[in-house]
Amino acid sequence: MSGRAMLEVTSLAKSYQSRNGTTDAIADVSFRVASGEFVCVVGPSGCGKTTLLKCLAGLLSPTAGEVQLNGEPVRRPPPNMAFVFQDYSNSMLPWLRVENNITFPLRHKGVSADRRAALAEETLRVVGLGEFARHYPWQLSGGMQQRVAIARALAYEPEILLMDEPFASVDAQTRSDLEDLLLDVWARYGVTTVFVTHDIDESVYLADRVFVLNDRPSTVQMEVPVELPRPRDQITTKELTEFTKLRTEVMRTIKHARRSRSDEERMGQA
Amino acid sequence: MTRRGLLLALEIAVPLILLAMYAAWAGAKESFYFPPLDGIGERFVELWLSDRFVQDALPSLRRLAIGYVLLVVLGVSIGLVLGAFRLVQQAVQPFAEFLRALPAVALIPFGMLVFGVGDTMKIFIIVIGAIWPVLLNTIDGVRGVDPEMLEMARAYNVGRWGRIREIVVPAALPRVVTGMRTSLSIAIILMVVSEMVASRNGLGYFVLESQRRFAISDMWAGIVLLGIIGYVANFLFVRAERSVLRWHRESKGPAR
Amino acid sequence: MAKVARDGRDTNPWPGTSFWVGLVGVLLVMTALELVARFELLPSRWFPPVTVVLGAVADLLPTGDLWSEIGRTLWGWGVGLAVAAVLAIPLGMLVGSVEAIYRALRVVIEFLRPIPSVALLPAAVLIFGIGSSMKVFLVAFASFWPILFQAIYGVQDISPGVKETARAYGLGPVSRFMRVILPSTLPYVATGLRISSAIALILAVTSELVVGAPGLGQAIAAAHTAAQIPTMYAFIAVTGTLGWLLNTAFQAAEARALHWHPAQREKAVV
Repeated sequence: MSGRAMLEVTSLAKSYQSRNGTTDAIADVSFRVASGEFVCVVGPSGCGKTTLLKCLAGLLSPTAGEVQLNGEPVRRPPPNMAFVFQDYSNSMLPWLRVENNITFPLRHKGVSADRRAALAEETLRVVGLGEFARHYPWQLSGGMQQRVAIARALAYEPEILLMDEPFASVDAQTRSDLEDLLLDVWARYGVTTVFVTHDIDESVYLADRVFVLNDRPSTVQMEVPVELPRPRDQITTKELTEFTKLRTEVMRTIKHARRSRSDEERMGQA
Repeated sequence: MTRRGLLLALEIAVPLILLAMYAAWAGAKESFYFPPLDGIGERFVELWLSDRFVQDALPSLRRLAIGYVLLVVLGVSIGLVLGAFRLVQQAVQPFAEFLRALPAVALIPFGMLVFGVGDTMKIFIIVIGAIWPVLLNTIDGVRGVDPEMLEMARAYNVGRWGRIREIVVPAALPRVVTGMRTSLSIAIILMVVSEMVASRNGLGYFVLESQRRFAISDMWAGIVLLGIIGYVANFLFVRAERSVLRWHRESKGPAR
Repeated sequence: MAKVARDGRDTNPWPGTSFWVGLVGVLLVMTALELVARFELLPSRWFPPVTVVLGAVADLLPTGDLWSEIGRTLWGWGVGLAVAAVLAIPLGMLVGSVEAIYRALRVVIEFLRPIPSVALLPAAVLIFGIGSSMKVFLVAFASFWPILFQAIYGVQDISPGVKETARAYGLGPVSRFMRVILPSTLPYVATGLRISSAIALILAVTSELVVGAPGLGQAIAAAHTAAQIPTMYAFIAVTGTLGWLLNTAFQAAEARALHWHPAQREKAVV
């Protein structure tokens, strides 16, 4: 791991109270993310990935442990952090035009009107939607809306970007386009990125390091450094034997985690 | 003629034919209750293009406007508060349900006890009787705001007040507007009835008084004016709704 | 059925409490009203304490008067609503399924609907006198429109796919009507009936209050004129209870008719 630790997670745990009792979503997760690094968190669906990310973002307060950003404990959403949600249709405000969706957080951050307009224009151009500033989000396709969400995050000028399965609800072709767009943007802005996904290929393709979570209550099952050359390419990178080796390794870990869960379920039913 | 043209012709011709049929029927029959159209039209012009308009129609419209504005402001603000505080909303819900189900005209004698027979009573009746659709729809609208939108705003450090003003209010607006439309028609009913029960002017008073005087053409002229007021109010409302809620209509796709 | 959001927050933090909270709310308001009257914060001659009003209700309960007044109001309400339903449901389904008829009647319907039905009260008195047929006419006229519109919407809202399928399976016009059109329209009609039921009660009470057709409205007005204030409040309370009971019954019926409908499913989840 190179560079200083920007994000530091120490013994993080989170459980929920509901009427069916207590659910432990994550138990004892610790890791560090260096400045400028691209980290993926991958795990079986239903594990505490989203919960973990929301704890990092200060949207949920952990039951135990701590999250530190630049040495400061995170208790509420920090101003230098941006978040991209999975569900683009509900994270866009349908009554605002695309450009106003992008500038909405900036107005509350106290950014001047000129600067807001410049940021919206620039980030929309970066994500390839320069001509769509005056459209409404619902006039765009799902992939385009998720580009707007990325533009909104970039315009916020964050030091760290958290992404919660952002490409899970778009089709395969759009998805690989968006992955490449994200890598471009990341290289260009040098923004530290924590990316949650359930897609193993995606995690290996994007990341510098992959954390594999196991089933609830989640812990970090394995940490996989990905030393594939950059810039990466959908075809040539995925042809590398190293890529295949890594994804097999991750997949085996996840499969193992899932098998132990289904064993438990079978025993529970018996 | 194309199919579209034919349908359009139907749309225009049928109402005219119905009107002509009434004119022919009422004109030939010389019924006391159903005076000929031209008689009603004549009285309509004589009454409502003169100071009778100032004397009876304007007070009605003023009561309606004041009552309606008041009930919308109150209904939306109370609804926002109740929508945000679940416990308070649960505590108030049975009472609100009861008052909503109570036919508001039954409260007119109560209003007369408290406020006498003046404008205040009528405005009170309009507010207490027609506020419920706005209030309950606002609560529903607030509670139906997508939690992910709010979380997005929270993730971007938008404060509580900013979230209410810029997310909760616009997101609840379609429901609020639906409530406002229902409230408007109830408000018109209450305006008319409160004027019928206790008033010395206003359109409700006028139509009932005309009937008692057996001034049948006057009565119909008054009813026609009330119909026009109802129609125009509804028309303006739909127009305003279309432009304000364009995003809502179109974001749901053309299917609906 | 409680929906637990993906981030684990239970959407209802106090499941099952709403009934008791509501009861406490009702008791608090009634106590407040009682105290206001007892301490003469408002003149108790006009605002008798809740207990006095409840006493007046208790005095009325064993008398035949109360029940016959309720009966008269309910009769006008029920017959008017039934007449409206018998006319509006077939007409609405006809107008909804034949475009030529829809277009021919659209302007007429759109113009007649917003007319405040109470405006017709003097005309109804003139034509029918002040008896129950006047009441029935007004109730029927006012209740006609919501049922008509819901029936039209209901027929027009059947998706073309469903109609095509019915035709593809070789259903004749009669069984198409019985198995597709009627069941799909029924929930909409149920909604129309619920809306109309409330309007019908308003019109019934109005005709009693304004021109003295016998019933609850007339009883309220009579008590008012005779300055029997607790009795007046007692009749108002009974009218409200009647309205509440009718509304609850229609809501339950609507929920039953609508149990398969998406709107209802959402309600069950939230």
